Amino acid sequence: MPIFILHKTGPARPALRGCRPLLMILFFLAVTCITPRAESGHGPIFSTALPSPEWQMEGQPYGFLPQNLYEYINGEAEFFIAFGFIELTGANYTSVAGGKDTVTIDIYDMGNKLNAFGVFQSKTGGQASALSLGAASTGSDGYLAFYKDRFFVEIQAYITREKEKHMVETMAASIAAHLPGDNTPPSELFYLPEKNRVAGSERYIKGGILGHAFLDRGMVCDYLIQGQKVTAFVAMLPSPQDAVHAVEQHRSFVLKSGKECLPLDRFGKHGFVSEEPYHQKIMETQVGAFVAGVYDLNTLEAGETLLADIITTLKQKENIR
Amino acid sequence: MREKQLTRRRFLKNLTLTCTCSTLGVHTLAARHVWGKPPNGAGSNKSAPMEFRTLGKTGLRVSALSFGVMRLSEPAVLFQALDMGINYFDTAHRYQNGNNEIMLGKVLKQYGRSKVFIATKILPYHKHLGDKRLNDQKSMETMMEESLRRLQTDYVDVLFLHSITNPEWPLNEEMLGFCQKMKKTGKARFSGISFHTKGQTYVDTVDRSLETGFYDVFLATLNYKSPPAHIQALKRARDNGVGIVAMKTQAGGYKPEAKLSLNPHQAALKWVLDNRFVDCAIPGMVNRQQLAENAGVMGKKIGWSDRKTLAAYYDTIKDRYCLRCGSCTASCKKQVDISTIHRCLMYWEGYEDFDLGRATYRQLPPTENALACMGCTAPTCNCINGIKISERMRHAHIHFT
Repeated sequence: MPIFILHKTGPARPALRGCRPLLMILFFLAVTCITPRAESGHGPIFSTALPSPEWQMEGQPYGFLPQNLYEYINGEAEFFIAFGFIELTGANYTSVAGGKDTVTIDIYDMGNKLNAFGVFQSKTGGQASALSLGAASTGSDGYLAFYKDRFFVEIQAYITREKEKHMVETMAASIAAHLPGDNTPPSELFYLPEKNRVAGSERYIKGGILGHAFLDRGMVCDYLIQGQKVTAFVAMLPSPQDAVHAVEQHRSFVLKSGKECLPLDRFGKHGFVSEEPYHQKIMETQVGAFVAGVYDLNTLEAGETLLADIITTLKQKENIR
Repeated sequence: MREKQLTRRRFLKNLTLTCTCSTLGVHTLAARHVWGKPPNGAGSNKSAPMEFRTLGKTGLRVSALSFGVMRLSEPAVLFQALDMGINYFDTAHRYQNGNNEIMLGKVLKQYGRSKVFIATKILPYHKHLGDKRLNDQKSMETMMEESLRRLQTDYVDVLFLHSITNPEWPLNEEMLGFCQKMKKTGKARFSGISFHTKGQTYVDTVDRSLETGFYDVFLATLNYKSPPAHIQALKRARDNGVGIVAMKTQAGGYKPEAKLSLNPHQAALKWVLDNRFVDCAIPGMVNRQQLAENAGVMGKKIGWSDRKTLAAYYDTIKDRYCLRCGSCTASCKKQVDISTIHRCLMYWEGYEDFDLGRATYRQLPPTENALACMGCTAPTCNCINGIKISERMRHAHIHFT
């Protein structure tokens, strides 16, 4: 007879009651051992970031997990958590000579490249800088951000002495060099063709492309076609069936909004052309487990060529027949 | 055309018909008012007209459902909110490093600045060093100028000192001086503080701020899990004329019950708005579905039986109900599909449909089901709402396989 019998609900079996204190102690020990702690995995990296003997690290590196990130950055924690935040480690530096001069380095482990890219683009709005740090970087003396592999790094500085201001870049370069991973952007970025792309407009959306929960996550990017700015997207769904369902939900939404919806036979049986509320014309279709679309179109011609390019790119990259 | 004559018989017939229809109509409406919609319409998003309340002594008539813009990146959702009657939008200088204010500014300029209320927040201290380095008045003014530029406006309706964590800060001269100057120069119509603090600090923050008699609005965490002391503190503030804006309103939920007229998120929001000391709530919304869901709360009432059921339900599910916030997904290094497995458990335990739970579980690829949890000795998974994920995953695997 097995010692433990699992119940759907209800109290422990009478036979186990005598063991309850022991079980509670064992459970407590187990929980204490497995509870994730916000210990820095990057402790040595922070030591390497010291630019000169004039600077010193203030105390030990600190750490935060999803359950207590609110204590550190209050409501903004929601933003990071939505992008799959795993852990933050950071350190404060002070200048021995500079009185109040301080630098804070925060390294957010976002779990994967795509999430790190998503946070970086949302926070920087695609403003690239001349710095070459990680996969992309932005900022200057007071604020500097970059992402490398699964890490998003934010550096905030308060430096009064002009000659010390370059220290921020030195420290950032050191952190970037010591973080594991490579400097390439996420492969999903290449779902969208590079031709005519507006540089820096690429975004990874979580929560709803065009504000639709059924197009929960995917890549969005602006294009300049014949002087007209249009936006393209590739929504990533769990399966081709889900992608078909998402297109149908979208079709249903535009129809309910009182817009005309025409079939887009050239791009498969599920495609449609319509007008997106609060936007302009839209064309959209299903490609494997993806939904590809182009919106804010004045005319459909520009959209057709771009959508065809996106479909070709997707099929090549994901081996979709 | 032949003119119809109104005979006594026709008059009585019409009168009877009218009375019957009116009575039926009123009763149907009254029934919906008290009991909510019938079960098959549970969680409906069809919204009643927007409700407006006066934001304390400011006199601003704000929509009870207002908009926490923080995580939003799609302007169309804002336009839709405006069309639904939402007129109060909350952002902050540091949200998305300023991009949030830029997006809101573009939309509101297009819609008409004068038709809406904007609230933004300025962090009064160096983010990373807490109270070691409070910002001086000048640096806060610089941030405010930047916010106004991004928002494409000359003024904000409410300026908050962002995330007060020390009850003494609202009395700080630099902070008071900053707010006073912004009001005097017309860059802010009203000022207030925002705080997420816990325990006694929350109460002390309210009380110390009230002592100044200066602040017009409090933006504070309030949800069905809030301790009574926090609720009482906000009531005191409202009695003193301070406008109350509630945030983090949906910090929990429960399964959609056939007896209830509202779904989990709607009920949590409605709980907040049913507190008459709350002038508006600013749930964060990122898509149209969330917007429609929250707007669906307007005009709905939670009846006595709903409240009783809710209260009992909260107690029983709080340790295991997954809010599907998704924050746990990336925390598992073995890539177990935690969210879906929680959903399977909900089908079984919540909807009492074991077969549906098991069928859904068995659709998961072997690499994503909870098999990996069975021998996992060092789980990295964690839930921001306190669910013991590894235990729940093992529970699912044992029963569904």
